[in-house]
Amino acid sequence: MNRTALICGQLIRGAFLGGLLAVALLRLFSISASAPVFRYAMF
Amino acid sequence: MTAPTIAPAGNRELPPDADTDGPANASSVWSAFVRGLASSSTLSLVVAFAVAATISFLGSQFITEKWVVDHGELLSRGDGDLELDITRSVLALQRDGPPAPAVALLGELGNESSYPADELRAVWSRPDATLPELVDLRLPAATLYESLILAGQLPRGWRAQPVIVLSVDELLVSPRNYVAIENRPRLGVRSHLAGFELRSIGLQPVPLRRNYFVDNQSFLLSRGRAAITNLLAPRSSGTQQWRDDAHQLSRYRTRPIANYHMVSAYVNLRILAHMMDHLTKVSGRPPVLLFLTAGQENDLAFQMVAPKIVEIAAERGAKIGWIKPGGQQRGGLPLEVWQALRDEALQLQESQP
Repeated sequence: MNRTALICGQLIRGAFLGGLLAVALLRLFSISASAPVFRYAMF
Repeated sequence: MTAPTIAPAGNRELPPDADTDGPANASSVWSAFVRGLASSSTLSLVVAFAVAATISFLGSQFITEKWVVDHGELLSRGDGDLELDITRSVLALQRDGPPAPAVALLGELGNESSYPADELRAVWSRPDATLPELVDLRLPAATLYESLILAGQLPRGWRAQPVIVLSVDELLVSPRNYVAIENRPRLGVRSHLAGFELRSIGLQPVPLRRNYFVDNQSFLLSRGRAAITNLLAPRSSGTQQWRDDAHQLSRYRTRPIANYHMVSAYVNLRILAHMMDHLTKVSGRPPVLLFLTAGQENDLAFQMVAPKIVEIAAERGAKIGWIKPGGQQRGGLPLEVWQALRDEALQLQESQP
């Protein structure tokens, strides 16, 4: 039971951090005008 | 003889870090859950990267112009969400190619709520003639930059009569605000034309990546809350062609537009001239300018910009209409103007392609 709760906590933490990371990545791709490497990197 | 009593068993609590499949009480489960939330672990790291990669991939692949046109109601903040309606209208125009002849209105919406919607509808719909479609892309408290973005999205070869509704306020907005508008956009569209114009006046716009999700992330993120609400409690929201809800409009008009400068008017007039050239190229006919003359507070500004507007319009053979709202700070188009636009529309329909 405790192990399940621990894993749930870790999953929620991961999902939250993942959301933040996704927003940060989007900002990076959009704003980094001076870094042309991002322009063609992924999308 | 007394019955045997059972002594209380005592609090047999498990240690909080006991990883056991045996019985556990609520507090130890809770503390394990909090420990999972608070401490870093390989699992949370892997999940974080997986979630970030999934959001980026799914967003960039599936949240496209087509998705916004087809399922954009998910982003709606409620009925009469003008910004979303205009975004979807423009994206639909672009997706479906040049539609039927139409009158396309761009620019300032003003306070049109003072006119009864039924009367406006009556002007535009006549039983004896089928009028061209009315594509209304006017925004409340519009800036020239937003109008330029919309103009840049209109499909080429469209047999339309463009109409630009201007106000003195619109011409006095400092172009420095345009970058801020781009960072916190009201519209979910961007255009190369607007970016080029910003660069030409020495500002640095956010570069376009040719991916809808990445380019319009600020618009999409700003509607995340609305999307979650709509997902949890779906509601129907239809496009409202006639903007007759005074309450809805009033919240847009409170948007602050800072840094009014007369010098800005000259930069904005240049942008206006380029926008008119572009619209002429797109539709094959010069746009009609409708100038909403504001209240007394901008009389001096109006006297300064009016001759320039006449000059710009004369160079391009464009018609101008001066509209004085009766007793309002910023009025919309009166019924007589709608009647004149209807006549323009009839001429457009009768003219050969």
